[in-house]
Amino acid sequence: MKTPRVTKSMNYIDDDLISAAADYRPQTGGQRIWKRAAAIAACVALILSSLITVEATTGGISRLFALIWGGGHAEIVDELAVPLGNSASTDGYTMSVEAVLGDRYQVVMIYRLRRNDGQPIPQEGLFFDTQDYLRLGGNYDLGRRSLTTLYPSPDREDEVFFSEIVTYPRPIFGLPAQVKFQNLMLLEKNGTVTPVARGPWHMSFTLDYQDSTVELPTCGQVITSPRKKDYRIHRASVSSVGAHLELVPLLDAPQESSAEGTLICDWCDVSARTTDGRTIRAGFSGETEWFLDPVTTANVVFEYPVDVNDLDALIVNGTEIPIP
Amino acid sequence: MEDTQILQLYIARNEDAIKETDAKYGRLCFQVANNLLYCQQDAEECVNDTYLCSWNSIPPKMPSNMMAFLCKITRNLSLKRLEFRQAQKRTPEQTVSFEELKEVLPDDRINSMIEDRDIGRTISQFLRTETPDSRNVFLRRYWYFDSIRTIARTYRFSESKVKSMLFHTRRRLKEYLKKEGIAV
Repeated sequence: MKTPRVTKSMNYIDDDLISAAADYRPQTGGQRIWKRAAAIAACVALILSSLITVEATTGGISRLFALIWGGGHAEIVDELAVPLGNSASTDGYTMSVEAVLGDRYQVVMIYRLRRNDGQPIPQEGLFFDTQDYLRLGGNYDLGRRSLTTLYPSPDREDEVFFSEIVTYPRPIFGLPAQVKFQNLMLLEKNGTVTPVARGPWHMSFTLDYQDSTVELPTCGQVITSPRKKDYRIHRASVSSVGAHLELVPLLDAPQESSAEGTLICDWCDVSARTTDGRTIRAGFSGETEWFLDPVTTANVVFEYPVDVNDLDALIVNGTEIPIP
Repeated sequence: MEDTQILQLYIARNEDAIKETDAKYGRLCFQVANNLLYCQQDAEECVNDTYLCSWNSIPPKMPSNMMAFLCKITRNLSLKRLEFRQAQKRTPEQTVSFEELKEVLPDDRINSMIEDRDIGRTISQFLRTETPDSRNVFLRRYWYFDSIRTIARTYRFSESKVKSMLFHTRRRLKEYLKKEGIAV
């Protein structure tokens, strides 16, 4: 394919616009910016279970989370997750938050979107446009949301499911949450976007699930970045869902900024080892971008949930942190 | 090192100019090349060619914006290499952002009297009317050829939001180019 002329013409775009785009970061409320990563996508296996319905009984809820992790983790999911069912109906569609599962710093939520008239709904390409929010505790405004992943319904044409991971550097467990979705859009295969329903859909609920977080005794272990900068593991915790890390750069090792493409998630590997020797990979779900605060906080999500009692060690860039 | 100091090295024909350029802008130039070529070796060669080009052109050229100067060279060289590879049927899989832009201004719809420089200038004017978020997402996608996922991660937007922003910006650009007589 020949390079379109418009692409070549763009080389004449003004220099100041080009250099500004290299450094640009959207406005945020504070100096300490929490960056959420799309890490879970690499870990997620899209295995659909047969029938998915909301049941507040043991065994029912794991079927919802089987959308994300497959059906092999029912026992731990049933132990930790909580069914919800709060819903909002407008514009011919009903949106409901079906279940939550999480730890102290992050939560996985499953939503259902269903057409009220029972007509078929596109099973792929649906997404919510901007201006939606998720507020926690009335204090945190997580602002722009991410990781709202679409799953086709395994058994009904008039519904789809979405999953969302909310991750934050401070504890979010137990907080009241308010969620707003609006502007349901359809991304066609040819790249055009068409509006489907305007909404909005508001829902309120509490992040009240079984928190399995365990604080780890860190001994000042040090990890080194590819640029030979050392970070001390200041604090770490692990749960059935993932882990939370706080890293402090050592003296004479100024924190690397994301503008240089050196986010921790770009070079740091995190995994967990089980007592029977299995390795469970983890993907970064978010990290703070340093401006003034000398501590970098990062959260990771395991590729699938695991009983925290079955974990033997957290491994951060090859450095082992034993789990008592 | 400050750009002015790097330029001084070029003027003095001190080969440390290349070393300092690489230290400061090497990663960014590599990213631009690799986004287009999807091949580490080709991208590294493009970056090295960029240094050669800057070495040969400074002086007499004295770029006021070193970052844009280098990135433009890298982008040009990478596009040329990509065209060469396409001619050799060694095409990369991902040329999506080309297709997206092509819809905005197909080659056969460009006013024959218009030069590339004028199109670039008009796109600059258009981008200055956009919000900073839209403008920079657009440039990251179609100038730096970042993937949707990379943009979403960098700007902390959802991928859906990035796609939607790009769609709307392309639509507005199409109208603008028509209004300005670039597209017929």
